[in-house]
Order: sequence, then structure tokens, then C-alpha cells
Amino acid sequence: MLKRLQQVNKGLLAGVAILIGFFLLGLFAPWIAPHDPLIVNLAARLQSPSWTYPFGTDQLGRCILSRIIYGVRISVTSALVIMFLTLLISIPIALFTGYVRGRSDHMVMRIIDSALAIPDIVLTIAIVGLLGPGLVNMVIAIVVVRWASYVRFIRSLVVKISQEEYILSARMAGNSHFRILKRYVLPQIGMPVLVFSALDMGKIVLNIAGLSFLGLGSQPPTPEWGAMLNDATGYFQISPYVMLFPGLAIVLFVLACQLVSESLGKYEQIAVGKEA
Amino acid sequence: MGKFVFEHLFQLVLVIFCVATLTFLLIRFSPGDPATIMLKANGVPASDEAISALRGELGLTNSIGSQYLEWLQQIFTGQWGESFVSGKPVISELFMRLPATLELAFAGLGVMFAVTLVLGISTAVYEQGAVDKIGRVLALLGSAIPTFWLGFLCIYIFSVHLGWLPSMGRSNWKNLILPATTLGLGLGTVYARVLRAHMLDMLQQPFVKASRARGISTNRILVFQVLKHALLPIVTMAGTSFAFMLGGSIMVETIFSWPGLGQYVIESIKMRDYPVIQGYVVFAAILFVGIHLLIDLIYLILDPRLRAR
Repeated sequence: MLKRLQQVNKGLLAGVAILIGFFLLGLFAPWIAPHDPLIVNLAARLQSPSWTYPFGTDQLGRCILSRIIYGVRISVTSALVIMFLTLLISIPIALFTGYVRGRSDHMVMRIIDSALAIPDIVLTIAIVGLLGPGLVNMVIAIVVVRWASYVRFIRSLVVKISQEEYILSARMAGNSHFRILKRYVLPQIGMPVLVFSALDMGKIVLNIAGLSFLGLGSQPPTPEWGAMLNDATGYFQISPYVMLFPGLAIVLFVLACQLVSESLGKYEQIAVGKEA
Repeated sequence: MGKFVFEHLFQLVLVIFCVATLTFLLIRFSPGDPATIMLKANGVPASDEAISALRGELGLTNSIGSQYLEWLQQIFTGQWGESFVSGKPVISELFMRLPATLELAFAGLGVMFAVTLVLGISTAVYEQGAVDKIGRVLALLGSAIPTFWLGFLCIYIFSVHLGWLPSMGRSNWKNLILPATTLGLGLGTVYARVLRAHMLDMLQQPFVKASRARGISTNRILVFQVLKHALLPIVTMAGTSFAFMLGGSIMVETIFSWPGLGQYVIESIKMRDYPVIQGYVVFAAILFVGIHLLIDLIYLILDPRLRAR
């Protein structure tokens, strides 16, 4: 047991450390980045890594390292905004449908089943396509597609908690439904939702990068990892570094999210096991 | 049986209804007037007379309610309009590109199953060994590496560096190898872990104990007896993974210039070809619900227990 806890700690620590590293990079980008991410220097285009340009330069002579560092800002901020909006929409719906049940619950679940019948990438791309490419529209599209799976997950938690006896006794003690939801249901779903969101954070970053890669997300010259890979399409055969490093940045970020989620999930299992 | 089919058909209608409503709302709320956009897409200068004429023709002057009803009617009767770019009916354009996408999706599914089987069995046989550890790392990477980046790596290594395989187009079977690998590899490594877990779980079953009592080696039991049982959940996932393949094919088709549905829709988005984008979502929705119906029917045939219900 102790050994397992230590293992859990190691994964969690590594994941959190990498994520904090990314956050700091984004936060202090102007001080850390060796160059301006937007300055074009055609004399130094498609260079291999050197002391001046640690990750090399892209097709316009822009410093790839600086662009990746600034790219953290776009990816992390939009991912956090998406996460926040999705939770803002899905938690109330899930609380309501999961607690009240009945016909409205049935209807919402039917709609969610329909939404989940189509792979999210197809729906996201169609929505961005209809709204027009761009960062804001991409955020809207991802939220519109993501809420369904969140509601389904949170609702299942709420349904389970609502059947607990302490909810019944809280009701008998004269608490209003709203108060029960706020005091006894909402705090209970916090941890599982955190684990779910941590894993989803990685998926959202992948989603953002994917859409930007297709030219549907952030537009040039904004430094964004997926958009950098899109730029790289025509040049990576000459200079592989234009695609190597942005891709590695995405992989590292997503891996860190997975580690955190996996370790938190184990933690939760252990905590639950102890209670039982 | 009848109830089963009815339920699925109801689901299909509901999905199409939801998608149709969503696209209708999006078009309404998106900035820009459809008539203006259509004229611009055709390269006609958007004068006021031309816009108002086209607005009347498209029915944009009617009330929102009647427009919505008309829209629903068109969707359900298969009149999805013509592409702004080619002027051909959207439905025939989509059907023309379906075979390429299906080919890619099936090939991706094949790669996925091959990876799942090889990696899953070998990690289960050598549990806790080096192979197992590699399998764990691969599964982690497999779900973290974006498909489009994997595609780039494949092209760089196998087309540019080694020159073994072509990186674009669809002319012979060699063209299929890299896209299918890109599509199926990641999910394969993830499912390999699932297969391994199921196989190791199965080792606790009484029939394994019985076989072992008869003196059959653990590895033999794993491969010849346990695998059959452990495969069931994997086959169950085939439906979901097929949907995943079709979704993932959008990226892969774009990277490898594979002339399928995904590449077509991305091009259409860049050209602001709205009827095609709308048609594509509805088409995809029907495709996915149809696949789920088909898979459930296959279960019904394979599993007598389900039929009794």
C-alpha cells in the first residue's frame, strides 16, 4: 500500500511539475523567450538548432523556441477557458437532471446520446466550418461539442450520490433541494470531476492543436503549436525541426495531463478503499 | 427484434433532427448573410439588387419559423442543395468520396487490430517483463501523440529519409500503408493494454486452473484459451473504434492528400462552401448511427442471449 502511494506520488509529482513548468513558461514568456516570436528574419530561415536559435528557425526565420514558449499562452488559456465554460454549462444541467430525474432527465439524455453518436472531431470541424475559422469560434465549437460528455459523466455521479441515505436524511431534516445540491451533492463530485477534467485538459489541448493544424483555429502569425505544424507542412522535408519541436511540446503537455489524471484517479481509488 | 430496429431508427431520426437544428442555428447566428457569401463564393460582385434577388430565391425573406420547417423538410427528403464551388448536388459529391474514406478507415482498423493483438498478447505473456514495460510506455505515447504529428514523423522517416513509401495520393496499395498506420497505431497501443488486462483477468477463471491441472503451460493457455474470451470486449469496441477511424481520417486525409470525405470538407470550409459542410455533418451522422445499428444487429445474430430479451 505504502509503495503504491509512493508510486502514485511520483507520477503526480512529475505531471504537476511539467504542467507548472509550462504555466511558468507561458506566464514569463517575454523574459524567457530568447527572441520575439513574430520577428521575421529571412536571412536566417530554416536553420538547424544553434546557440542563437536553440530549436532552429522556421520558414520565415522566426525563432521556434520563442514561438513554442509563446504558444503555451494560447494553448493553455484557450484550454482553461474551454474547460471553465464547459463546466459552467454542464454542472448545473447535470445537477438538475441527475437530481430531479423524470421526464426532463430522459429528454436531456436522449439529446446527449445523439450528440455523442457523432465523433466529436467531426462535429467540431463542422461547427467551426459554419461559424468560420478563428480562435473564438474554435473555443465555441469545442464547448458545444464537449458539454455532452461532461453532463453524462457528472450526471452519473449525481444520480449515485442522490440515492445515498444521507441525502434522504438531509431532506427529512428540512433542507431545501437547492441547499442539498449545494451542501451535500456539489462537494462530493469535486474530486472525480477534477480527475475527469485533468485527463480532458490533455484532450482539449490536442483538439486545439488539431483544429489549428487544419487552419481552423488560431490564425497566422499567432504562435500556436498546431498552427506551427500547419506552417511546417511545406518545409519539414527540408528542415525537420519545424515540425519536431512543436509536436514534442504537444506530446509533453498531453502526457503530463495524463500522468496527473491517472495518479489522481489512483489516489481517489485508494481514498475510497480506505473508507470502505 | 422489431422494437430493437424501431428504437435505432428513432435514434437516427433524432440525431438527424438535432444536427439539422444545430446547423440551422449556426448558419443563422454566424456573421454574414448567406446570400452575400454565396455570391462572393461564385465570384459575383455583391450588388444590392443581386443580394435581394438571391435572398428571395433562397427563401431568406420568409419568417424564421417557415425557413426552419423548410430546412428540416429538405434535410429529411435528401435535398441537400448544390455545392457553391462545383455546382453539383452535395449528396453525389459526398458519395463520390465515400469509398476512399471507407478504404482508409478499414485499413486503419486492420492496423489497429494487428497492433492490439501482437502487443496485447506479447505484453500479457511477458507480464512485468521488458516487453510489458515497453507496451505501457507505447500506450501512454499512443494516446498523447497527435495523429497529425505522427503522420509527419512517418512521412519524414519513410518517405523523405528512407524513400520507401509514397507520402501522398491514392494510386496503389503502397499509398495506403502510411495513412493507415498513422490512423491505427495510436488506438492499437491503447487497446493492447485493455486486451492484456482482460487476458490477465481471465487467468483467474476456473477453466484456466483446470487446464493447468492437465499440465498445459501458462503461455499455451494464454494464447489458445484465454485469448478467445478476452477478445470479446475488443470486438465490442470495434464499433466505437470505427467511428474513431472515420473521425481521425479527417486529419490523416489532410496530411497525406487522401481524396476522401475529410479532405473534401476541409477544402470546403476554406472555400466557405456551406451546403457541403452542412451536408457533410448530416451524412456523417447517418453513417455513424447506421454503423452502430449494423454492429448491434451483428451482436443480435452472434449472441443468442440478446435475442431472448
